[in-house]
Amino acid sequence: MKSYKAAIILMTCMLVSWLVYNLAWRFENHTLHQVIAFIFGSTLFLSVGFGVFIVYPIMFIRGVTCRSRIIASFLTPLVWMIKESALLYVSFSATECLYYMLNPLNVAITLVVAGQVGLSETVMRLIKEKDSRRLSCVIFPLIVSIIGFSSALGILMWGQGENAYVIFLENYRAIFGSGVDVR
Amino acid sequence: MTRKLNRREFCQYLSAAALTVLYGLPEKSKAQEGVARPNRPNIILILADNVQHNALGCTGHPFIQTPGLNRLASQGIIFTNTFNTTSLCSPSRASILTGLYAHNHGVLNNYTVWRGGLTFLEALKTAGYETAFFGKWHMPGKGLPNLPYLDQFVSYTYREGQGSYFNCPLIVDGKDTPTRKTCLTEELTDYAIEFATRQRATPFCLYLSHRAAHPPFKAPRDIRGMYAEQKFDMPPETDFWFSKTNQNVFQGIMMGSYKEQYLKYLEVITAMDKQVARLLDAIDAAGLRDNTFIIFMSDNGMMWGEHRCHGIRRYREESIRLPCIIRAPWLIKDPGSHRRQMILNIDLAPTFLELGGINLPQSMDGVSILPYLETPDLPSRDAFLLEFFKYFPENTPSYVGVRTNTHKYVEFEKTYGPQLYDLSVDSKEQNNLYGTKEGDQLLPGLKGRLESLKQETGYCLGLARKGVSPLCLSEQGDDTQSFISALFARFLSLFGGAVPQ
Repeated sequence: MKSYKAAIILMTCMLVSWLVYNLAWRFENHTLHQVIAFIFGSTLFLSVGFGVFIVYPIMFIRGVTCRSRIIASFLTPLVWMIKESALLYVSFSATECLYYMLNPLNVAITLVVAGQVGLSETVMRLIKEKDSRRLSCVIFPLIVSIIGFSSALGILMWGQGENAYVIFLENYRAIFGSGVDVR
Repeated sequence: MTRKLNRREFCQYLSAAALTVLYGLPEKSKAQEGVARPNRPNIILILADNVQHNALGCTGHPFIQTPGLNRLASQGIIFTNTFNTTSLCSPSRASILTGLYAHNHGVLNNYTVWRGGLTFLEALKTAGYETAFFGKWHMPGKGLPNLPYLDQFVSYTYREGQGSYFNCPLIVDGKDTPTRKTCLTEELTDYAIEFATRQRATPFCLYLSHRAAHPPFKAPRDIRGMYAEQKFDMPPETDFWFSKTNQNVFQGIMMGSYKEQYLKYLEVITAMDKQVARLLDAIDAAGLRDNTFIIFMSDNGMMWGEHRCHGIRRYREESIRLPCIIRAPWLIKDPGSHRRQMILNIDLAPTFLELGGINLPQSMDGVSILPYLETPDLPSRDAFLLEFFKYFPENTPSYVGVRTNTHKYVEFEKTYGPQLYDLSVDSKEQNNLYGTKEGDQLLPGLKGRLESLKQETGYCLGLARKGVSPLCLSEQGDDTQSFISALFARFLSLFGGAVPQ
């Protein structure tokens, strides 16, 4: 657990940010609401979207294994995705909530996280390794990084994300029909 | 030489004289500035998408520029109490076509396949009208249907039938056809003008269904940024991150701030208005003004942060209330005025049928609104059934409710408790009276009204026929599900957004 300390702190930061952000609008003071919402909305966004850039290097420096570093990198985004899916239970069944995990935003975030893992690994290896080995040791993480970022960008840019969303919905219909139990 | 009247002739003359005294002469006396009542007028329905009831200059928006629709309103009338019965694209559109509630036409959400049924277009075609549909069809099903009763059918299936504002692949009378113009709204208007101004001996019915203002919002270059300097406030419940949290990213508003997205929304409405103006110009120039019934309406309203909600599908006023403008010179004696009668999207089909001189089928749920055009203070319905069927992945449970002139009462399928609002004193629906002393007094009457509306419209029967369990709160879900849902409701009431979305 000790090696996951940075990841757990990041995850806690995400959860606190989410709770405070969603409470902020209850403040009667409009300015206070806006300031708190902006701060905690930003930390929520950064912790889910770019937390890897903090967690991964810290764990790398501490000598945590590559497997653990990768798991830790995906922890916060995964918890956020599970939370989002669970909230869907307000209206839908558990299986539909599970399918929601495959939405294009989650796919894009997963790819961005993979890209960040690759990029962080590349940078840390470049810093650590001696000059003679520099290029050869970063090829694989660099490829992972490029594939991750470009795929995520592709999903978000392809029809402003609408096309990927349409595919997500088409697959939903193929599995669940209209979702209102029409026989 | 005079001739003696027999008894039958005498009675006929007497009846005619009595009717004239009672109702006045049917032709000239009802006309606006001497406009004669056409036998069977042309009909033009311009349907917008997700346009808030007050997002037009003529309906009270502080700065949006909609000169075309303002002109239509000044020459016609605005219905200020217009609603949809289901706040979702496909069900609302099916209701407009058929005059039926969603539980009767069967398009419960944007996924349930439309099985057909009598539409006003078909009825008018049978009665001798030339008919055309241009734009967003968006009725669930595979591709576009074969509708032999349409003389011209221009639509698209691109992106789940939502299309795109620019370079949208069109299907013209069943054939993939290259676009003639880059801007969809402009191209559809071209088709509409060509159809409407064509020389013909018969009346026509034209249904022009715009994509505007569906997200993602993209206006033509000459309009982009026209409101950038406007100073205004978004609802206080919103904030900088609002468009990127709590599922709002799937509403097509992720890029930029929420305020920027709202301005883009207004831009696409202005772009559409420009095309409406062009159509009106063409109608007037072709000399069709005095025998053409024009109605502008939206399929849904739109929530822009009110109650910390975005989009449609809610029972809130912002979501169910629609803009509605009608021009019919031979019927409206007081152009530029407002009507307060409660009218619904299901009223359009019966209205068109009456215009076409067709007897209304008993099965239609809506009523013709033509009498309200002629008589401003004529009493109308006092309540309607509000229904919604869950639609993945929009996080709103199915609900059913009643909206009266003064109150709203809504029951949910799961998670949330009932909502009861006194709209006469709480028009923004801030104070749920359910469970309060005042609410307890109102509840029996509203529940009774809801039940009677269900019976009148065949709510349970209609759903059962379609294999859907009618929403009955007390009988829904097992105990475990209810317990978990209740926990979620408590949790959401604290963190997720205070009230049912």
